[in-house]
Amino acid sequence: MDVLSALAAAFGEFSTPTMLFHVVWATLLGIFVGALPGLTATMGVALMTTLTYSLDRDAAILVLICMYVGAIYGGSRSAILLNIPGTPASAATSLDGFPLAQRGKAGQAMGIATVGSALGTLVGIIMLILIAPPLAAAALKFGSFEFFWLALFGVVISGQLTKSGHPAKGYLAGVIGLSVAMIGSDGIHAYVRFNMGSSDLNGGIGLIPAMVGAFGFAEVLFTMSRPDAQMAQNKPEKIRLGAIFRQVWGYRRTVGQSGIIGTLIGIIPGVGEDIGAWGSYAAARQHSKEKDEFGNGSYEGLTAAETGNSAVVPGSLIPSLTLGVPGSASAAVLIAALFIHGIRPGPMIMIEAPTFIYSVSVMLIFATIAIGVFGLLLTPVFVQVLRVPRNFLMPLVFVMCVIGPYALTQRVFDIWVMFVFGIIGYILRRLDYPMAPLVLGIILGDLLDKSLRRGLTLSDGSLEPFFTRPISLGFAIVIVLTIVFSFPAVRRSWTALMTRLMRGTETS
Amino acid sequence: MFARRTADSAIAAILIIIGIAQMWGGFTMDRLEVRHIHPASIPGLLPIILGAAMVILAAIVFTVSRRPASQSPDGEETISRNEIASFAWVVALTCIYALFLVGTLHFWLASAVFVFTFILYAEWDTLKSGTTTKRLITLGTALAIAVIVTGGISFLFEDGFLVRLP
Repeated sequence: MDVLSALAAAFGEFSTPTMLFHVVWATLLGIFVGALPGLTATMGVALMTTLTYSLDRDAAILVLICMYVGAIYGGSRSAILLNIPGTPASAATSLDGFPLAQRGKAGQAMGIATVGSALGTLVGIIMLILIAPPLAAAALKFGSFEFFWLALFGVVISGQLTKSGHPAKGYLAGVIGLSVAMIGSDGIHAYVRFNMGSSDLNGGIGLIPAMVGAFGFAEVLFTMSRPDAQMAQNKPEKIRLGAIFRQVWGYRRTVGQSGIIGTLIGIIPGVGEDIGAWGSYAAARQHSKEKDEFGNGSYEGLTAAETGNSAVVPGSLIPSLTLGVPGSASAAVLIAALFIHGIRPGPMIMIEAPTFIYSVSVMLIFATIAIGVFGLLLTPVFVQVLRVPRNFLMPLVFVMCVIGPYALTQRVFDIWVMFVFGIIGYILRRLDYPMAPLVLGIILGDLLDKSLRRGLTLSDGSLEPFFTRPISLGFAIVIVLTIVFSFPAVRRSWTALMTRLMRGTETS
Repeated sequence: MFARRTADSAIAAILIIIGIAQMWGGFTMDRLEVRHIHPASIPGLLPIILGAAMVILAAIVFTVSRRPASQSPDGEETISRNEIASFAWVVALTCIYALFLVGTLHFWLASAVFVFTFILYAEWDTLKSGTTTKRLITLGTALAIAVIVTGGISFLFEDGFLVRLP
């Protein structure tokens, strides 16, 4: 009953005309940001953070969540129409969405993507309401030893995001991020480290400039230095709502399964929406009766991908809010924004702001309704917007990259930080280093540093409690196994060993 | 044009050097004995560990990148001269804008000059070989976007969100 009354109170709070106006414009802007190739949800939330300084706390967070949900959903527009995923989360969507658009069914595909996204977010919201409070209660048992492993766990898990490069590159990106976090005053003795004689570095490297550079400016460099993706001819047609709902109802099992997979993937720190989409897509294909259709214009595949990536949004907010560990790169930015607006995500959230999780759930519900309405009504408009050539769009993106970090601190130094991180981000991305662990490293570096040194002080320099306390031991085992098994050579040896053992058992 | 593996090796080598420098920096960092802090909570502890991790991981990447192309995950992938030239141009344009124009000129003017120049660079092929009408349309569009959109962005931040622009 407490949960229901908290939700009802939150509904009342956010049903004012001002808040609904924020829902409308922020979701709409998010959809356009997500739809425009080159602008990611993470970048959208980062840039939007700078626009929300002057808003009050609840309105600011509502705007950011609407931007996040809208951008993840919006990525499907360009994925379906142009075969260019607007965000990395929509890569799986383009596999079936684009072939459908080529067959003249772009409107139908976008309608199904809209309903799938809305349902995926709703599944995630239900799990957020059910799982977040007990997870926060469990997180209260965390001490310095557990937080050390938790911070390391976030970086290690996100370090596995390397898609085509060597696994070491993912971990290396995480270590670079953690090392960047070592610049400036340390969190225990306020001793200034690695400032290289510049007083501007005494406070450390700002998260927002580093992130806007690594994602936004790096994207500008990436897009402009690589040949343009081939555009396709699209024929948007009239959407038949009844047919869309009937079709999605036929895939209700896929929707439920993808929603749960997406949310669970979102809970794992640093994994993100793209993995949620691919995981759901792979699971749906495995259980589908029309496996051969996947990749050639399957409605079920499209539904799975969109439900999966959208369910990651509420899923990623579960560890973000209750542990202070982001479930995705966009959630990492959202955490930074929450700090700016006076909310301290982490195990204490259910004590410091007990109703906040329910407020976030209601914000997500409003954002979901908004994407449903806009997605179904504005399809013809999206087609026009997507015709903006990259050559005209990219300089404007860079202007936003400059103004965003500057607006936060009014320091030109932060523009330079953004610039340097943009070039670093481009080089690393070009060489297949994932960006998410770099950003997570910057975020979690301080927690890792303080937890390690506090833990060692408490144990009088002994490493024993890091391995003997139950939760710590669990984390340590998972981290070691994750690292060891991420190397292909180890996996091959393990598979060979298991095969030999199995054969040995069969022959005996 | 050069193999991507070469760039991989170079970056890995740079990271090994940075890792060693970080370890050394952490090792020689003030131990704060004057404040009588616990030796296990010295500020240089984590930088030493991270420096060591960076050296090990970068050494792995370096070793993998030195393998023959047939055994490398990157194969024979190359980075073209065109890509490097485009990258250098974009870096030069953005550098002039972000590091010199911003703060020297009014933000709106600086941004308009940058956006206009950037579009001219990106649309250079059209301007060079297109018809006169096409050239005029491109120039007009570039000018309109440069003035109107950057003006809108400046107005939004300065008057909408009360940010004092550089």
